[in-house]
Amino acid sequence: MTTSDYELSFGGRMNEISRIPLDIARPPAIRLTTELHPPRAFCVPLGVPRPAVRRFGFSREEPVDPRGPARPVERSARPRLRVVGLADESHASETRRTRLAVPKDVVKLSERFFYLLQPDLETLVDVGELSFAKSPFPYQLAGMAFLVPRHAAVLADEMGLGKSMQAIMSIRLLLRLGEVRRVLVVCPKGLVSNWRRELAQWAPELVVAIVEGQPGRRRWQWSLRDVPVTIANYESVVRDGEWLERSGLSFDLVVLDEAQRIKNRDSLTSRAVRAIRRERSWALTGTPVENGASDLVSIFEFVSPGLVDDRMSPRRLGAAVSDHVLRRTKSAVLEDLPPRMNRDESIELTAEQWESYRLAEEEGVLRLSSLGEAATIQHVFELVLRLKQICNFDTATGESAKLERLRAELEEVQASGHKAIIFSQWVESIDRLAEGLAGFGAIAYHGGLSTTARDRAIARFRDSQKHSVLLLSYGAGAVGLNLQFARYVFLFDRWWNPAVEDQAINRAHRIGAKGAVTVTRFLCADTIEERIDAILESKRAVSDAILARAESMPARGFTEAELFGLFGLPAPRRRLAA
Amino acid sequence: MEPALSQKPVGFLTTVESPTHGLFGGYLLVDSIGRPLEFSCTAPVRLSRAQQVLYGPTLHGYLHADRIGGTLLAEATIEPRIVLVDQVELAQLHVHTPLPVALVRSGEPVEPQADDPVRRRQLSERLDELLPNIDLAEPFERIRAAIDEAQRHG
Repeated sequence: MTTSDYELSFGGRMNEISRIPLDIARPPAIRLTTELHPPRAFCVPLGVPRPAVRRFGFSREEPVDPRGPARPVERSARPRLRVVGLADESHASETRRTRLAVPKDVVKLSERFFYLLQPDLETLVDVGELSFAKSPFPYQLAGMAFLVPRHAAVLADEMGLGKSMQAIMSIRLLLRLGEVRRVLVVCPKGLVSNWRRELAQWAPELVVAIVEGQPGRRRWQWSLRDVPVTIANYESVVRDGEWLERSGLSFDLVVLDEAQRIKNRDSLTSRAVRAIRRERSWALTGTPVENGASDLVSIFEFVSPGLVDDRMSPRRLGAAVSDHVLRRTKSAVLEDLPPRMNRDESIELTAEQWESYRLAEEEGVLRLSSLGEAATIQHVFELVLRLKQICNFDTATGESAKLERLRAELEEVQASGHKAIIFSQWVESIDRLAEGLAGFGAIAYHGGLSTTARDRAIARFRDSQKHSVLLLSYGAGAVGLNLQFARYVFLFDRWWNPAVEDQAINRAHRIGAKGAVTVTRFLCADTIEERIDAILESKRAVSDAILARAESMPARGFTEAELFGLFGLPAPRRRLAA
Repeated sequence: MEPALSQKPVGFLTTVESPTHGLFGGYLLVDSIGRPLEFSCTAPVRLSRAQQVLYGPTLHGYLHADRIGGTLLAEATIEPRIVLVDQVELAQLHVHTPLPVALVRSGEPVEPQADDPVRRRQLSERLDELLPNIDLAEPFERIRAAIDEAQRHG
């Protein structure tokens, strides 16, 4: 503090009037003292401290050589890559980037970063780290982005979208990332060669072991530790289950194909598969919910034990599995595919057909009732087939309400210059249709024809304007044919399994189709056809509730109780207990 | 033995402004095909109003290049062949590191950063050798996604 003194002096002049000497007249000095406070200084710290840093390293074990032990990975052999540089804004907006979709159950930040910071799949393709035999669809890359980071996953794409290809490419990427070294694929026996073929197509560098043959040979194949991919069928897993458990063999990833095979959790197959030691569990199935929610619960006993249980409502179950299940349908993912219009035609049987139908059903039910406990599924099937045949053609008179309706529909198809394909499950019905639709140049295509005759039939149908109708059996015509030039599909009778019907429809409704495809399903009113359809629809409803975000799931397969229930009969108890 | 230049990693450094938390920095080191080797991110930096006013136009360069960029480079355990940045505010990073630094901006050629024209020319001549053969914009998207994830997970 500082002090300043101020002295104020007045006067000093002669007061002439009073003549008072100046000394006396001088007023006293006034001394004023005042204190001034200094200004307050505000010190503002302007330095910005260095922020704290968290560092994450991603060094993994050196990836296993995906080609097996004989040939080392030659990193320098990778193709020299193109310089991509920066895309401009317009290009950037068109560039699709499929990033790994980190699952919710990965809680450790470093693990989440490991997946999050991986290059997008398109970049890996660009730099040659991933190569495809054929250019993948975006939804297939999205499938890989879903599978790769997941320890528990169900890929439930509709049949034909390439589940095995997506699994193979994901396995390949995990091997390259060093995240897995040993993978087991379990599939039905009939699909082992398919898997071998698909692996050779999509991952030709991978060495594959197939578990087959006598026990000694199988154990040797199980024990091949340096082989990245082993394929085994379900039967081998069951047979070798005890040995596998004793041996302590473990896999980094186990993939179950056609995982609906374990929908009964008490079955030997389900138990054997669940007992395999593993880090990651994936299930591939087009029909995760065939008969009810318990099918999916059983699959999750393998995929993520304890995550869900039978007491959950379909909605709660759906919420619990939502991060682990990916389900896409063709119509949702194939953007270039024209729409598919579905319509159900309810058809009244003719009076003669109805009489034959009524008699056959009454006799059949009476017979089933009289058989009592001796009645079998075979008996029910026979009755169902007989009734369905009458719905097509009256066995006594040959009358067919469906054929009459079909003729009327086909006249419109022909008049518009389009072509139609018609499916039936019986060759006999196809032959009758060929006769009844001769005016449309109908050509038959079924398993009774030689390969040459079949090829000729397809060529005539495709190339000639005279032939606007192709008649196919589900067995011979549902797979492998490309009939995308046909704009109309008729299901003259229904197959047991909607997935097979979908395959049949997909002959016309596929990539390359030039316009909307109209699918007409014939259902005879008040007959067995309507009852079967009602059961299939109720199964779809259950799967829709579980997989709410997915399109309806093709349900398939009838239980014994459902089959007997078609005729209002209880299933024999001995069978249900079995 | 020193690895060949083409085998050395590449650094990508950027910042992300969060309206609620402040400014984050992220630094990603990738191998020659873009796979992550190391990632660092900073705690968010929030500035006072006084700092914003008194630093004036010098603030952004100081904050981005020195405080955040410099810190991230100092903490990294792997040395890259080049550090790429995608913001002008980070261009001054070259002052804080002997490593080559280049600015990557959408639709424009990659710009080597150096005050000395001779050094800049030398870097330009070596750019093909220094840059990886991947899309240079893409790793920055990964950093932003990771910082976003870090914010969500606290």
